[in-house]
Amino acid sequence: MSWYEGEAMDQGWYEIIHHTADVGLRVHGPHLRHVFEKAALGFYDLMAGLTAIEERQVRHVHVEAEALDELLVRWLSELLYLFDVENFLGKKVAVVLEPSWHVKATVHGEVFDPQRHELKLLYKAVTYHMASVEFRNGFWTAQVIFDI
Amino acid sequence: MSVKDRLRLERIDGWRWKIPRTGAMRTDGIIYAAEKMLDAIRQDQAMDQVANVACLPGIVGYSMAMPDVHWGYGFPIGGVAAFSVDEGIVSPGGVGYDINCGVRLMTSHLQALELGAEKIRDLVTALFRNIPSGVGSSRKDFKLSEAELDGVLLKGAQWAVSKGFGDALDLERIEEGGCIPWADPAQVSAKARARGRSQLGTLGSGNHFVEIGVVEEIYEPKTAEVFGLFQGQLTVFVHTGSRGLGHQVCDDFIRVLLKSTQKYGIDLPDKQLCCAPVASLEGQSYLGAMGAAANFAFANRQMISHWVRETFEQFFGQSSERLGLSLLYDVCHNMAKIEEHVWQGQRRKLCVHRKGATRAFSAGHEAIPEAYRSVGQPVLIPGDMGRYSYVLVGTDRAMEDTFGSTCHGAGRVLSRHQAVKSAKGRSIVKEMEDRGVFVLGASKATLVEEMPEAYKDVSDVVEVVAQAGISRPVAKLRPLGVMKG
Repeated sequence: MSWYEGEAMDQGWYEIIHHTADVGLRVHGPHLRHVFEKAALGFYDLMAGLTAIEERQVRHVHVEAEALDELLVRWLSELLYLFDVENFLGKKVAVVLEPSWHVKATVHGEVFDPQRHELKLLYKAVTYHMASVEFRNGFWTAQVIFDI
Repeated sequence: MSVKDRLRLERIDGWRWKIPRTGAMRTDGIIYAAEKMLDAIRQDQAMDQVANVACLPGIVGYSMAMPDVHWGYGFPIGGVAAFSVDEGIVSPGGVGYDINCGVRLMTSHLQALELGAEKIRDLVTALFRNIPSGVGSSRKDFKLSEAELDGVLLKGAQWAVSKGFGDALDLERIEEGGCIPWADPAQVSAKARARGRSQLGTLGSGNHFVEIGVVEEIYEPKTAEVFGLFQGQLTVFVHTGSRGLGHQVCDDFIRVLLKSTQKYGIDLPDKQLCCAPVASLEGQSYLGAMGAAANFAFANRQMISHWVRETFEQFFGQSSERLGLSLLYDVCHNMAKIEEHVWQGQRRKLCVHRKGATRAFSAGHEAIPEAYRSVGQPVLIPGDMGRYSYVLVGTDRAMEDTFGSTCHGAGRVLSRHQAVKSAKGRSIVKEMEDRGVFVLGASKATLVEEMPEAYKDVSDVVEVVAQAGISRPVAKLRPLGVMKG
């Protein structure tokens, strides 16, 4: 296990994809919204460890795209933007998905506090490389690679 | 049958390998590498990426890869390709997320070894205090207004110098004079601006660094003299780029160009190669935004150099002029530029993509600072934090074969995960100290991920470009103290 694999990883919420110089994650779920929620939690878990984050504030995120894989990349890119600009880290995520294709999400979390949080991974960008959202055998799987 | 199975590699000579044109490829691929490097190159999909780039419309010459090639998003890192400005394309995948990530080298009058290990340690610590680095770093004492940010995006290092960060001589010694003239700040989204605003003057994380080194060996004394290099000299490398602003510009335009690829009916072997004709509205918009992000990076490196000078002044109690802390040169690694080149006897205007590659123009070229024009462009090749770095010079052969391009560094061989695994139970900091290098990282993890064995030996990379004649070694530098972001 890598140093940055956090507690949500321990609970099997997501898998890490190792890639030269980069890191990605893969999540599974019975509903599409689950994989979008888990991808976001995996994103924060790799970044700062979910247990260290508290639910103190809320952010509303709305993104749209023309395809599901693009929606996944845009969704996580929006969370990266929230971190870069407001230093906001999420802890609990609720996603509503609307067709062709919208994410409307509520993210509970707090602003990064160097006293209490240790940042473990910084993503430069969420990439389209290997980005996919697929439905197989009754389960959704989503994966994405971060440029770090 | 996958592309990989179809790709053959033919030996041209000891330093060049050809991927013969096949399928949708419009030209051959050429990989610069020593035979012993081929296994590592075959391990990831870099070869496929060289072949994919050869499929893009309007490519002139070959799809090339330098010996530090490794897998990237779209183009391989270490990829070089030129496209006709009339029939060719421009692609963010040929530039990379960190637009104008680059490196600059400062020289001094100081004899490095006279300082001793303890002073180097203190000096690195002082640099660490003065230059914001690491994840989410920003300068709390320095906030840019929107109008000032426009100045940065339009003028690059020229903006920084106009605000007192350095002087006019610095500007002469930066590729493009530290300013891409066709930058168009209006093409930079509000999001990119917001990501970049608090990050100007920060190092960032990952492989970005400030490194104090010593000139250990001179190979070409006359050129070294022109560059102001001497044996035993203390030097400072600064390696960083356009931070979140550049990443967001790349991200924004991948989205735009995915659409224009369809609009212009371009067949793509890989989504991350999305592109638009150079002359199209989308192509021009991307070039304008990319230029603006490049200027942000130029300003960023300029400001960090200013803080390096300030730190040295505080530390030695002498002016930076007395310490001779001057800029040798600043080169870009991730850029697409409109340049004129002679290809097969014909002078052509081209859009040259260098992704993880360095411009290496030969003596006499007007783009080279006057002070260096008699010898050629300085080429700066940082290695890993434990071994060596090199200063090279551009050659005529580079102009003829690679559109004036060469390698940019060592190139990663281990994933972060592999690096972490191989570092288990070891102290990288201690190992580095045993090698005579004091390292300080914004996080423990960065140091582990950046350990020397995560990279190729840069000496091997430099040997290939020297043997192939696309640049000549001038001096070898050894790190003494490294601050990692």
